[in-house]
Parts: sequence; C-alpha cells; structure tokens
Amino acid sequence: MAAADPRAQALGIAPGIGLSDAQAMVPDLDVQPADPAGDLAALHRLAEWATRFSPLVAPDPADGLMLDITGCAHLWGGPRDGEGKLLADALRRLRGHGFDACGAIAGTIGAAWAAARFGIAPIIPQGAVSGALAGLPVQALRLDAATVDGLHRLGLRRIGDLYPLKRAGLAQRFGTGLITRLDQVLGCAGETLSPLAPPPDHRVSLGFAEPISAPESIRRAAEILVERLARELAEHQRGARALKLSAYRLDGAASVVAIGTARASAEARHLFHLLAEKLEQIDPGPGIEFMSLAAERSEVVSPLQSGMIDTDETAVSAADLAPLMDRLANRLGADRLARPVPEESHMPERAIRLMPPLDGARNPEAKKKPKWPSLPPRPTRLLPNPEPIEVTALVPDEPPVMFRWRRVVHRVTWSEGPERIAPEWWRPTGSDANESRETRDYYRVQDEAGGRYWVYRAGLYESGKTPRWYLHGVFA
Amino acid sequence: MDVVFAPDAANQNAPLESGLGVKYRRFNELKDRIAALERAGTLASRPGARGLQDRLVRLGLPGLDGHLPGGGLARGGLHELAGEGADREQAAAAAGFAALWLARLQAAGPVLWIARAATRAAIDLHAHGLKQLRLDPDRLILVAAKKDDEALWAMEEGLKARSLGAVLGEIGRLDLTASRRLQLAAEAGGVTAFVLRRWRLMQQAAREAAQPIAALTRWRIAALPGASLPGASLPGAGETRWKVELARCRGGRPNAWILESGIMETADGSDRFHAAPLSGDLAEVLGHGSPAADARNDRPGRRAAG
Repeated sequence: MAAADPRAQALGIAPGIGLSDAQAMVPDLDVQPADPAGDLAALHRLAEWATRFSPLVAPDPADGLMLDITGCAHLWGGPRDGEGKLLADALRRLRGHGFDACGAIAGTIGAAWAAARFGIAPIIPQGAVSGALAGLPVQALRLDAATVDGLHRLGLRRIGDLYPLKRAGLAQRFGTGLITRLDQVLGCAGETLSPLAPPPDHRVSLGFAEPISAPESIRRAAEILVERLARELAEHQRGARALKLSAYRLDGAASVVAIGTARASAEARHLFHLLAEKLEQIDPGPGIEFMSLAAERSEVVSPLQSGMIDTDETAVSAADLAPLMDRLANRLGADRLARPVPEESHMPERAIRLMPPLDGARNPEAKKKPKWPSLPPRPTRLLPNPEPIEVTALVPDEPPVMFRWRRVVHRVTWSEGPERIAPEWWRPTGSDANESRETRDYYRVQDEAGGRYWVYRAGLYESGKTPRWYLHGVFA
Repeated sequence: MDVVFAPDAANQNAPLESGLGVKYRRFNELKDRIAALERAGTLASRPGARGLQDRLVRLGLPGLDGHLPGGGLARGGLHELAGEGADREQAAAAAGFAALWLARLQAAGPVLWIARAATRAAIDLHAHGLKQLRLDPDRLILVAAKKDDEALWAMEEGLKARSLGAVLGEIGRLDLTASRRLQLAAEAGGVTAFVLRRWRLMQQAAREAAQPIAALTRWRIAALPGASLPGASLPGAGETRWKVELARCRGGRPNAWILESGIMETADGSDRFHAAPLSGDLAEVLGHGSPAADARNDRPGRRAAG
C-alpha cells in the first residue's frame, strides 16, 4: 500500500502493509494502482498554480510544495499578519480543490518542512526555531531511515536531544548528513530552493474580488499589469526581454502565455501590443481570480537607448524595427523571420544561413558585416529541395535538350555549364541524405519561352548508368 | 541610389536624349513643377515632408523612369508585380525586377520581403542570386508567411515601420479592399509597398490579373529568350532579358519595355550589372519583328536543341 485515505486508515490500513493483508482486513477495499509519475506531474501542475503566491515555488516530491515567500506576504495584509493570511488563503484554496493540506511558515526550509508535517504552530517566528522544534521526533529533520534507526538505538528520539551533543561525535557516527540537516533547520547552514522556474527579475500581480472571464476584462487586467511592470522596469532602468502572463483560475489551473522581445523594452505600449496578440489563448475556464505578469528576463537599458538609432551598417536595427520584429515573431513565430548570412559551403542549399534578424544587436560577433563571396550566376529562386526532372539528352554526359518539370515540358534552346560543385570533404559522410554527398554538374539552361533554370546531374557521369537530373532553381 | 551602368548602355540612349528625349524631359520637368505646386500645400504641412524628387525612386533607365508620372516610381504607394505564363508561380523574373527597385529603395532603409513559405528554411529565395541583382542581402529581412492573410497582415505591420526602405509581399489572392488597406498603409507611413503575385493555376492567374486593385502601378514581367550582348564572346550567352509591361499606371499610360542585363565576372572578381533599355514604346517592341523572335531564329545558343 502506497497511500491510504483517512477512512481506510481508521480501519487499520496503513501505508506500507501488503495488498493481500489489507484486503484480508477489509474485503471490499477500493484499491487503485499507484501512479507515482502521474502524482509527480500533478504536483508540478500544483506548483505552477502556487506561483500565484510567490514566483519561487519548488515541488518537494512526493507530496510537498516549498514556497519562498520573502517579500510576498505584504500583498495579503499588513507586515505583521500578512504571512498568516497568505498561509490561510493557500490552505483554504488547496482544501477547496480537494487536497488534504497542511502548511507552516518558518525562517528556514527545514523548520517549515518539520512544522508542516509534524503539526506544531503554523508560523514559527524568527529566533524561536530551536525551541519550537525541540519536542519533534528526529524524523522531522528529513533524515534517511538508517540514520533515524541509529539515533533511536542511542535513545535519541527528539530533535532537542541532539542539541547538547557534541557535533564532532554525531558527525563521526552518522556522517555529515545529520549535522547538515540540523544546521539547515536551525539556520546555521544555508539551503536554497530549486524552483520550477528561475525567479523572474520583476513581477507584478493583480487579484480580483470577483473572478473574471470576459475577454475585455482579461485585456484590461493585462493592460494594468503591463503598465505597472513597465513602471517598475523603468525605475530600475531595465527592459524586459521575456514576459510571462499567468492567469490563475478558480479550478486550480493556471493558464500561461509568454512573449519575447528582440530588444529589452520597458515601453508599456509596445509590451502590451505584443501581449494583446496572445490574450485570446488564455482560457479563463470557470473564471480567473488572480493574474500575474513577470519579466522572466530583463536587461539594463540606459534611458538614452530607447530613442537612439543604431549607426552600424549591417543592422537591421533601427529603433522602430525591433518592435516590428517582435510583433511578427510573436504572431507568426520566431522561426519565420530570417536575415540571410553567407555560409562557407559549396552546396547551394547550404551557402546561406538564416539568422534571427536582430541577432546582431546583442551579439557583437554577428554585428560584423558578413563577407559575401563572388559566385558564378545564381538563381533568384532556389527550391528548398531540388526536384527530380525527366530529361532527354542527345549525348549522355551533355546537358539536356528537353526536360519535364512539374508536368510541363521545356525545350532547351541554350545552355551553359557545367559548373561542377562537389560536397565539402570536411563534412561527415552519411549524414542526412546520400544525395548531398554526390558531386553535381550544374547547367544554366534556357527554354524556348525564355525561362532560365538551374539544373544539375547528380553524381559523376558513368557509362551504362542513367544519370539523375534535378531542377534546383529559377533565374530571374 | 546610383548604379554603375555600362558605358555602352548610356550611349545607346544618346540618340533618344538628343531628339524626342529632350522634349520629354522638359515636359516632365514642367509636370514636376506643376505637381510640386499643387501638392505644396498638403505635403509641406505633413511632418517629415520631403521634396517631390524624394518621393520618387528611379531605376536609372531614362526611357522607363521618364514614362512614369513625375519621372519615377512613387514611394509610399502600392505597386504590383506579376509573372506571366510558366513563371506565374515562381515569379522569378518579377522577383528580379522587384529586386532592382528594392535595391534602390534600400538607401532609405532595410527591405522586408514576405515570402510564401511554412518556415524560414522553406523560403525559395536565394540571397546570392538577389545579390547579383544588386540587392544588398545585409539589408534584407525575410519573413515566411503560410497564407495570404498572414502575408497581408505582415505587410501592413511592416508598412507602419517608417525606417524600412520597402515592404514586399508574395501574395496569391488580393481583392480591392485588401489592396486599398495596403495602399493607405503605404501612404500613411511613406514606405513603398510591392505585392509580388504568385499564382499556381492558370485560371487563378487570369482571374486575379483581371481583378481591379488599388495599386499605383501594375507590372507584368516575362523572361525572354536572350539576344546578343554587344561585345559578348558568345551570342546570347547568359544574360537576363525581360519584357516589362506596365499594364496599369495611375496618372500615366500603359507601356512596355525590354530590359536586358548580363551578369559577368570581371577580372577583379567583382560582378557588374548592366541594364540597357532597348525600346520605349509598346508598339515598337511588339510590332515589327520582336528582337526576341530574332534571337530565337538566328542565335539558338551555344548548344542548339534539335
């Protein structure tokens, strides 16, 4: 048995006993297979929801959540009773969603863990930790079973029993693990959470007296949040590079949308414009009761920068282009935008690399003007994948006199070539397609109508073998 | 905006300059001045208003530029370019002609080219090829649009960015309303807009070409079989040759030209682009024995087909 609900426990079913024993005790016991992976996933979802209380949430498997509420409590009330209100609110909501929850607040992770699980005062004030925990069993120190057994054999059952003992002796007998745990609980050793997401640089939030679900209400709330965040960013002379808007729903789910910016921005109008495109993706479900907006990443911007026009030549970086790139990237996807950069490759399909358009702005290496090589005539249209064509050639190793491409027959009246293009020897063999490993003989051909095409024969000509021909591009 | 032209290209225009050309030029100068006077009131009051000359872009081909109202293509307006026949889908020749204008507009800012593709890797434009048409790839931003409505939206967004030199969108279906929106956006932002039409089917091409749109100019560009370039060692070898037809022009008359260019490697490795207007009038081009037909009959190329 992995777990048992209170009614089962009342019947004597405790976690750890065998299934057959349990069924012998209660023949009509409702048994469900344990699903640790599902539980963990659910815990992560719950952790995401819990970011409404603090951006720093760490799931503590199998059944705990750790929140760093430093600086968050004042949102729930005054400096004195804020923490209590936050805890009560969190527990009330968790229970409302059907969870059996306990919680505690303390100055250290270890103390809060112990207090929540072993049921002492829900809030342990700073400085009262050692006294409050003294009476708890040593298990409250988050120890492994072997250490607990060892302590029990020595008659050390309570945390308070450990206080007077010599640390060196304890370390010798039980390893440094015990000492570390003890120090962590008492705040003598540091311990940090491993939160779900790194803490955002800046975060603002908004709670609603009545749950909202109308699109215009969500929009208005987002607008307020953006204004507040922009003000906060501006005060710190920072601009947002990535924003995350979280909408916390009545049913315990969180609906999240994220946007990125090509350049750090603290301009409310621009940020809201980007966010507005995505607001319809927020599913209010039964209603949203709380929203937060976090600048997941931010960068320093000098007040001058917003109005400054970049003077470098290559860049596609004038001031109003960054917002444009952001709008395009957020609506269409960042993988839809590109700036062509020459790549040192003989193969035409690899001779261009597509870079993010504004990369040069933050990557000094990319800021250099790329050097474009001088090449023999190249087509204006290059097909992403060369297309096989049927050809008629008078002599097998000569260019075609006729070819069929996309079901249209083209009679060749003029041709020029070959331009032999061999794959780079330094590229590993057998990577993607075999095709790309072959030498190609490219010809420029013109048909009767005047269309100019770039065709090639794959592989070197071998007598007795039918050469394969491809169309790769169309000249202007 | 200046382009290097081959000396022989300039000489070819000399007779035109001395005869009718002078009259046309003076006529155009007068038209400019009248237009400038007429617009002075409305334009000067706009912030950032520039002279009439700055509101035009020229290819540097007097025969073509001079035919356009004011002596050049209007900036801050919508222009349509389309291919013909087999090129209706790739619109390679039209893309090449667009590249000539865009190269000149790049002086004002980077160019946003909205291509028809599902991802950026699927964009069928070749920057090396565009560069050989003098378009600066370092001042080119590519956007992949899956559908017409995406491309139209992206164009409108782009036209609001005044620091762009031009916005080009590859569009299949375009109606009067959508084109009017683009024209208004181009006018408001002062950024020049091009729609490069791409049509998969013949019927669609015919239907869309007949559809009225709110563009200042509508161009049809078709590749022609090559003729000879003076001085080229091989007749007809490798040059680009287009029939450029101005099908509609607000405030001007339709016309057609043949543009011819050769891309060749010079000894120092730099390439040069020559553009030589061969004719001015539609009648002249299409009437008696077109050069295209001559080329086909007389010079079948180095490797003649049977």
